[in-house]
Amino acid sequence: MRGLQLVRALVLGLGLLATLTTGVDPIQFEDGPAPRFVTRTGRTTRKYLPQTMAGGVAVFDYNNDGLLDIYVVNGATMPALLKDGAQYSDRLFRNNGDGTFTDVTDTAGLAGQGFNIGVAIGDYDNDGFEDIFVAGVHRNTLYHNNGDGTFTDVTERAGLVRPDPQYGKLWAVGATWVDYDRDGLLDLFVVNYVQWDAKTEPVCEKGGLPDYCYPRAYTGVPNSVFHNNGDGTFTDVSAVSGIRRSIGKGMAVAAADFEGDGWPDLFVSNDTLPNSLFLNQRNGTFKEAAIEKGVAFTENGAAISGMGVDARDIDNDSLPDIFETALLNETMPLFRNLGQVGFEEITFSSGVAHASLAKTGWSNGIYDFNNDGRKDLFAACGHVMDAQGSLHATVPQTNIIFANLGKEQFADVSTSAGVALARRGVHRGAAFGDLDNDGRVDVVLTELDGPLRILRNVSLAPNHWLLIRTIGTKSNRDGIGTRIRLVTEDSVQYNAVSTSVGYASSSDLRVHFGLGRRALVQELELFWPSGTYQVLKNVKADQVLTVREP
Amino acid sequence: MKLQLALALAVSWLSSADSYSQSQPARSAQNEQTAQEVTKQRLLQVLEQDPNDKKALFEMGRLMVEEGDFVSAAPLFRKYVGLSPAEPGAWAYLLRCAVGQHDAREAADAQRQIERLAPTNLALHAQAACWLAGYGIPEVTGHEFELAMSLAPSQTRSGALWYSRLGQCYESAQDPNRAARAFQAAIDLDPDIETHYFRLAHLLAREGKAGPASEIMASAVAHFPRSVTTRVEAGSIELESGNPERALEKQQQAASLHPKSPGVLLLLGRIRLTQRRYPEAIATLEQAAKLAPADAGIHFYAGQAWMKTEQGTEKAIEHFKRSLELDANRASTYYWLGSLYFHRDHDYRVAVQYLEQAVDRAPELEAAHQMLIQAYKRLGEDAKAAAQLRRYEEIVQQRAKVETPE
Repeated sequence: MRGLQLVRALVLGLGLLATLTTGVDPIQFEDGPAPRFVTRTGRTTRKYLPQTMAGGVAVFDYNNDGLLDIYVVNGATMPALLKDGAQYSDRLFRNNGDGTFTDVTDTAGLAGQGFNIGVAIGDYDNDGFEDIFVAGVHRNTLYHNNGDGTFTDVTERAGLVRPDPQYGKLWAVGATWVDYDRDGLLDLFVVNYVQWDAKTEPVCEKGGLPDYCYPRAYTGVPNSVFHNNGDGTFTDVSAVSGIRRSIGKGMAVAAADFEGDGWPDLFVSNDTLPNSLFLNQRNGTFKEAAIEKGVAFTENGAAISGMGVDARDIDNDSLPDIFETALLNETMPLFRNLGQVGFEEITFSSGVAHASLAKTGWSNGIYDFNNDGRKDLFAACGHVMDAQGSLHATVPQTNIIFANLGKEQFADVSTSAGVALARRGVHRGAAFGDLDNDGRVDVVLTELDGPLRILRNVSLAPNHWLLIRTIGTKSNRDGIGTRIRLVTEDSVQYNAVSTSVGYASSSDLRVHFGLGRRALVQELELFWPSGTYQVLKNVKADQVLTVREP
Repeated sequence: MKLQLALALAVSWLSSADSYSQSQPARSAQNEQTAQEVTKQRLLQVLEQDPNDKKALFEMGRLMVEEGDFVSAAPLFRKYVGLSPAEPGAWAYLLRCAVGQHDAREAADAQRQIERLAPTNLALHAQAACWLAGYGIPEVTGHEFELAMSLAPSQTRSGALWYSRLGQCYESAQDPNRAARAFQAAIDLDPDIETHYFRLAHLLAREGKAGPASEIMASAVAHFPRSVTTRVEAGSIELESGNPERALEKQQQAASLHPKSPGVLLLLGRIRLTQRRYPEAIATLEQAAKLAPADAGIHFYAGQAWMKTEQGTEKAIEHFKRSLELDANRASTYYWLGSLYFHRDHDYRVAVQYLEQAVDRAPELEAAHQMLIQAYKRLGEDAKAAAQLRRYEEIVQQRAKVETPE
């Protein structure tokens, strides 16, 4: 006990030191009690690429009790891709509101099938209950939330099981719900990785031992877009929307209004291929413009191993910026949105490059962890190769947090953010959300063949906050895509409603703002996807505010 | 005449092959162009007087092919084979024209004629297979490649060079399996040339086949036990395969043979760079640069090391510029200079100068196109940005056309 106190004192001391050296309020996390769950990869002597990719996790309120629940997807036996034991089950954990969780998987009917990778949350039928899309190897699943604590697999009825006419069954790793045509219904963008078949899996080795092959050993595939017909079914519009023309090795997608025209665009990070930026042409089609806008490649000159991505406004100039994770030695690219001109890569000049070079990042997010009014950066880290093989010493990694110092400058504050950040693991998924509604953004993490973790945000700064839950009436009911402008006495901030954040993961639908020392929001403007403009005045801080579209 | 033409074709092809370890001094492109124009004028005069002058037809066609003007070259070679249908060299150039124009039917026809007229001529078949590499005519390409490979058992040591070149063609065409077979044939024919091993091992390493790459280099080391170069290359292969520790072992073995070799130091510098031990990388590469001040590669990596440090931009620029003085053809050096001026100094005017050079030299360097477009935009030169984007899109479309068989 005394030892623990000593460690806490040391951590607080480091936090204080960080404050003194960086001038920002300290960010502090601690390992909170987490439900018992291990992400299983179906470990085998023979190496199969999907085993490196599992780990999707979501935080969302499935039963509308105001508390974020946790849903984790899981692997399967390899190479059969079968969940032939309880250890491979996907899991839903209900938040009891007292820091504990109850496993409700069986009641909910969410144990799942196959080797699942990613998850995306959204209320696709506007019935007020969050639905679940699960991305997996050769099998995706859409679960409809019945509103009574149970879910129904509606994949087939929804028209989401048809194989690709050219590539056959695809391997999906993630997705985002986005109302790309602004008709009030959430459409579905699915990120597909590579052509893969266990029968033709190449054999590779590292340091003389079998290991996973590099992505270049596999052929890329196009992503998929499904238009919501409003009757519980979807139409595959991948070809007519123009998305199918771009072949990639997709890892993650961020939907945001990059051009500021009110229409959602899409950024897809690709593994060893140039990133894709699909600009919404406002007529149901997209134009790929990554080269034109300066986000296809990084300063390094080559296509990186793009992993997770989040797009939010880090400098509060109203334009969403892009934070991407990548492989060891590639840095974690940070693209600043300059508007019409395109993007400027500020990875090096912002201070992110140096610290991120030594990391392989997966899921990531742009959130204000210390509520100082500036959004910080978090990346879950762990190398790709076999943690039990020749590189066992270097595969598990510590996660990384960059505090936003303002003026596009960031400082790596990981070492002063608590002992929880000093723990190494083969991290993959990360979902962000305020699990205990205390106004501080927590992180739920997955590790390959490791336990589920909850990083509780215990940052001490006496800063204020606001969580905004949007309810669309003309727009989609979740309000996904709503852009929010928040004004306090001394700052203006921007954010937007989205759930797809990072790699394979889905985060809190509610939009979080840190307010610093300001206890009053003078003005809150909402730009709904329907085109509706709404303004609220003099909103008190430190509350979960529900805003209904007028 | 027949043998002379085939020989000329072969010699010109081999002399155009890039040297693995030595960079050729750059010739004046302007002088070359002027001389070429004079030759063309002379040939035109000859053809005006005698449209059936075979030598002039062939020479004129060859010049057109060198300029990439296959549309103009093809009728000249068609006329030539009409006059002299048993000339395999002319059919080979006709094949080149067909490939350049994506004319699968004429390519197949020319290939059949070469096979009929010179079934065992390795030079012609290797050349033809090389031209076909990656041009989306899979049946003709596969047939011609196998024909060239089938000649290997009857070749002498000198045939190894053809297979090495053939391997390079298929490596460039992103056909690693065929490239590996050709490189292996080169080793089998002449195991006393180090570069054959290096090419195959680098190819395998790039394909993620670290084990086979290491094995090839192990056999090279066994064959050349006193060669510093072989041990340095073995280390380089390990580095490419993502094994810096193993690379360091090889580097130390090379250092035991020749501790002051610039190549040995260069390898160590690259290893330290990979390990993110930047101060050590800089110290090592600076030492190497002192020992071999005229080595463009050492300055290139020194620039890479300096640019990783917070305050190293100026030194990085200095090294990259020195590297360019020594080797003006390396597109990546122009790219890095452009990148430094763009990202670090925000001097878009200077960045544009370097990036234009980079895309001219390596149109496939997509990142350079991206940065050049952005640089033009930052300078307010939107028309140039749009033109550059169009140029990039044309390259992508051309590549897609090549990669998609009809």
